[in-house]
Amino acid sequence: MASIKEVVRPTDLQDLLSIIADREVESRLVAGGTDLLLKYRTQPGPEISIVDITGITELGEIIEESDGLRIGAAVRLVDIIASDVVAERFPVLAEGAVVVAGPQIRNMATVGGNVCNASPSADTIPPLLVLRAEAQIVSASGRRSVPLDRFFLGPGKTILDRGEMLEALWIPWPTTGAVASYTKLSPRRAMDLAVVGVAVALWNNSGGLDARIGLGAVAPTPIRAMAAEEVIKGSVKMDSSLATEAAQMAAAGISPISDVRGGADYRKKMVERLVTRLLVDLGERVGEQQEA
Amino acid sequence: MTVGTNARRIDSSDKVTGAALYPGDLSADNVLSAKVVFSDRPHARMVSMDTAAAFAVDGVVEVVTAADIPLNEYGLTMFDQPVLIGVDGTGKSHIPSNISRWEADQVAIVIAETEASAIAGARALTIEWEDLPLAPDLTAAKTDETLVHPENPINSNTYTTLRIRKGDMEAGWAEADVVIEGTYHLPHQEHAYLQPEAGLAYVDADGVVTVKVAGQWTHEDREQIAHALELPEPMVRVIYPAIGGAFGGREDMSLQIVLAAAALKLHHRGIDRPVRIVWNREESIVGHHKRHRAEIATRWGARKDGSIVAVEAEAFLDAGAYNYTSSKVLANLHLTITGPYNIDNAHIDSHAVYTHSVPGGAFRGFGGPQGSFVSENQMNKVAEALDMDPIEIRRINLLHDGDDFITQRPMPDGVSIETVIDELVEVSEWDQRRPIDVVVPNIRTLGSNPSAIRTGRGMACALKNVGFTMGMPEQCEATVTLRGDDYVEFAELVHAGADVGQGAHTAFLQMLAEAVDIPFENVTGSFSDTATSGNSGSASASRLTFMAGNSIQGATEEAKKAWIDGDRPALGHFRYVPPPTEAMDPTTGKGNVFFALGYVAEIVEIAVDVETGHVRVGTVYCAVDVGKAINPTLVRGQVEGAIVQAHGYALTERLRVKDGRIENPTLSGYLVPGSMDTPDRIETISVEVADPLGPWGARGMAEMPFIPYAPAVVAALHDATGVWFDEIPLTPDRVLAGLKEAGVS
Ligand SMILES: Cc1cc2nc3c(=O)[nH]c(=O)nc-3n(C[C@H](O)[C@H](O)[C@H](O)COP(=O)(O)OP(=O)(O)OC[C@H]3O[C@@H](n4cnc5c(N)ncnc54)[C@H](O)[C@@H]3O)c2cc1C
Repeated sequence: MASIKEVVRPTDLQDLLSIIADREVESRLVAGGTDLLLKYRTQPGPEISIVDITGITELGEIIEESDGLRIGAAVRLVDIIASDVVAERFPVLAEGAVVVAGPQIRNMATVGGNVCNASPSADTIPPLLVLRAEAQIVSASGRRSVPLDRFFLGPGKTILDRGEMLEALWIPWPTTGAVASYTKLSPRRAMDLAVVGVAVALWNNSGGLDARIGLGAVAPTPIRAMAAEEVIKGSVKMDSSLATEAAQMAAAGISPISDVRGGADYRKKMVERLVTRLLVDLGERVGEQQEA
Repeated sequence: MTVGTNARRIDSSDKVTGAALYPGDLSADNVLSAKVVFSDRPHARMVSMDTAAAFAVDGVVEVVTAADIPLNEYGLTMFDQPVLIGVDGTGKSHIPSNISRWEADQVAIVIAETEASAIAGARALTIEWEDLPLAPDLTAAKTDETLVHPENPINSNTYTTLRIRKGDMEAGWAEADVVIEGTYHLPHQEHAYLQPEAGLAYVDADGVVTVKVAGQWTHEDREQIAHALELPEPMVRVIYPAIGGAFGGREDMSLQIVLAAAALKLHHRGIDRPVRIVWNREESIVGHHKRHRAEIATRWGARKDGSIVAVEAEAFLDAGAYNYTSSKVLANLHLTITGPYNIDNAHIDSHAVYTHSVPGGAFRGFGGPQGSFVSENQMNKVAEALDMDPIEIRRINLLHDGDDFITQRPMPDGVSIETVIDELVEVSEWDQRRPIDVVVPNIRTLGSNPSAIRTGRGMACALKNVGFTMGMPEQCEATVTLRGDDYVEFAELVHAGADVGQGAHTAFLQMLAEAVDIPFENVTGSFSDTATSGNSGSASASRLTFMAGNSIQGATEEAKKAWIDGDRPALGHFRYVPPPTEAMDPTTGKGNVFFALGYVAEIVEIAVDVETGHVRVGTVYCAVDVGKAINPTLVRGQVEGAIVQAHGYALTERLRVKDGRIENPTLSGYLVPGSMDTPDRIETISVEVADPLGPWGARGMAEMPFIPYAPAVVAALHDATGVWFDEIPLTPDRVLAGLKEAGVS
């Protein structure tokens, strides 16, 4: 057990940022605490200060902006699931949120926590990857924005520097006619981590079809299957042979680990099958691009 | 009438409101916390242990080591395990105390003012080990290159062998039209009870070492504590508070002896403060025994008409580092390999083998699940080979009253397996082969590909002995007090029997009300305290209702006699002793081994997604002969609980044990079924063929529904895909690999 020196819950963002900028204290941010508390329950570690971010109102807000949607880092998964604008414009994100754990966890867990915890199997990350989400990062010395597919460095590791925090996730409004979906396979039906998670977005543009594919639980971080995306790019129509070809490409590009939830071979096979099925399914629903 | 009604459980409101205290809830003024230190070495020699640094930690009060255990040995059936590993042992036990043979061998108990100090003290212990070569599994241990117990005169890890020699094998094989061979691999299983091990101990004003803990047999706990600490039994008192599940996992000692040793050492130092230990989930999973791993190779011969004419088998049970109850579990496995069938010719060798791995021990079914996995898969494969219906082939082979069992002695009267199967067939409408409608829901949002779904139906059946049997001494005591003037108004029961969550105490009081013939509201009881009650024997072996009921009937009769003699209140005490049984003959397996049995049969309907390997169980029909349902709701609770537990065994639970270590001692790594993974529907068919010896005809029934489930699921999966699986759990990756190999996926 790491010993906890104190728990603070600032209500002002600048106060919070100055606390975490302080190099004298070892501090950890906490939102829902569903990952953090588990980690510090058993691991020995230094004395830490816990900085609770949920006192800051802005971090808990979903805001519609002219060019996209801004989701505060402390927005809870249950709020994502209940959000009308998410349901209407980015249902794939709600599909990711609703399969996390069970209701009790979803009532506490936040999307920022899911992203910053940087687990390879985090269920909201593949949807955010295919939605072109950007990580909006803030620190006492300023703000920066990074595409989410450049945010992760390894299991539990992100590009966040000391003193920085995730402020929000920003997602551009989707192209007309775009469709996307997330599917999760896990041994148990609830309260279980993904053995593979697959998100696919598919849309038409002037040059034909375009796709983004996000994969969870198959690599040290959630990843995009870019080689598979390339296979689809510019095709006129999605059919099962194109879907299979892309899916095989996605499976060939990963080297997953074996663990209690499934062996590496199993994970590869599942990626192939689920990507195929999602592509075929979305191919039947994808709309024509409309000129703005 | 109270027997046969759904009397409300006497503990229900306390458990709903939280008033009921489990061992982990117990505390006291001035309480100290203690931490158990595991060796964390599957095989190593302790070179030295220095406690100075632990004592230096702020708040550390005392450290209990091997030197504090006068007779440093423990074991339910043989004393083969030191209570604490250490270099400073008293040397009184034959078992060397300086060797760790299991990663969870306990080496010290650090007692401190707070749990945090105890943990810090435990970390500060300096122990020097010399690692020794490992025999971590059956394959390695069978070679005897490394011995787990070199102190044993037999010089082999294979320390117990049982044999069946029945009939004439040559004649049997000569009659066989088909021969089916199989090698089966059965996995460990973790009990995963809701309440991890915990307890509180103190020395009371009379000098009695008192331990409050969850177990399955207060008097056995007391005996084991008294043995190791060399105390007279009356100087030890064991009390059970509310118990959060047991399933066999609390039959062996976890904290009992060390809690007592801790309290006693403090007392000797003049510190009369209670001490408590609470294990977390990881400590619980690492720190107590498991259902046994087993490997069983077998060959069955059958005539064209379906009758089984020869059974040959060799079974190996991974006992782990210490015997626990392995030699008894082995006997049950041994006797269930031939199922509830009348088999003339059999040649069976079963061995228990020590390994440097987590000990195997009691777990619901007690060897029956492993043995029956073999009998039922074999029977189903023979049926397939002969193109026979699985029910029909069983009818040809079933045991009946008067038949000899595999032990070449007659079955105890009341053999009801045929009636059980009749009722199962009727309720499930087996003969109609209705289409199976089960949805496999595991691919979220997308759903299964409809063309990848196959459905199937499978059946299996089993018998299981009630009570310890096989020559083990058996008894159960009850004390009944009748109160009133002209007529009996109230009755009180004092009984040691453990209510581990199954509702035993409610059933006891129902039987008391029935025996006395007064309303249920007018009976009360006090339970599970060695200071007040006689020995009940354990809450295990599907024995407690059977044994306690007989003891309550006897004690009530005694009390009624005293009542007639004019005693007010009138007291009756009775010790029920069932008919004696015999151990098996070591060379032939002959013997009158049982006095009562339970019978069970199940049908499961499944769907499998051949693209993902996910298996979903729809309806389960479970017909079980309970003799007489003392409380039908409690019976249903046992059936449903057993099936959910068996579902984990068959499909989801995979304990990873490598090089003597459990790699996934968490509930996020060891996947028990969640509420959304259990079968869609469980239909309990409670059959009531009275047991001649049972109270009101009741039989033991708590283990039985577990036993046929795994082979029934395997049969259903075969029905769906044409592929046999000889190893469980049927996790999606294993199923998919098997289907791929067979060209089905
Ligand atoms: C029983 C159980 C089941 C689970 N099942 C799933 C599942 O099925 N799928 C899944 O994806 N996850 C699952 N999880 C993991 C967890 O619930 C999610 O990852 C959750 O979204 C984390 O959010 P949180 O707010 O609780 O994070 P916290 O625990 O508060 O934080 C997680 C990490 O992120 C850091 N952090 C939090 N917010 C910020 C921020 N704004 N900026 C920088 N760093 C930050 C924290 O310091 C910490 O390191 C499960 C957890 C449990 C306990």
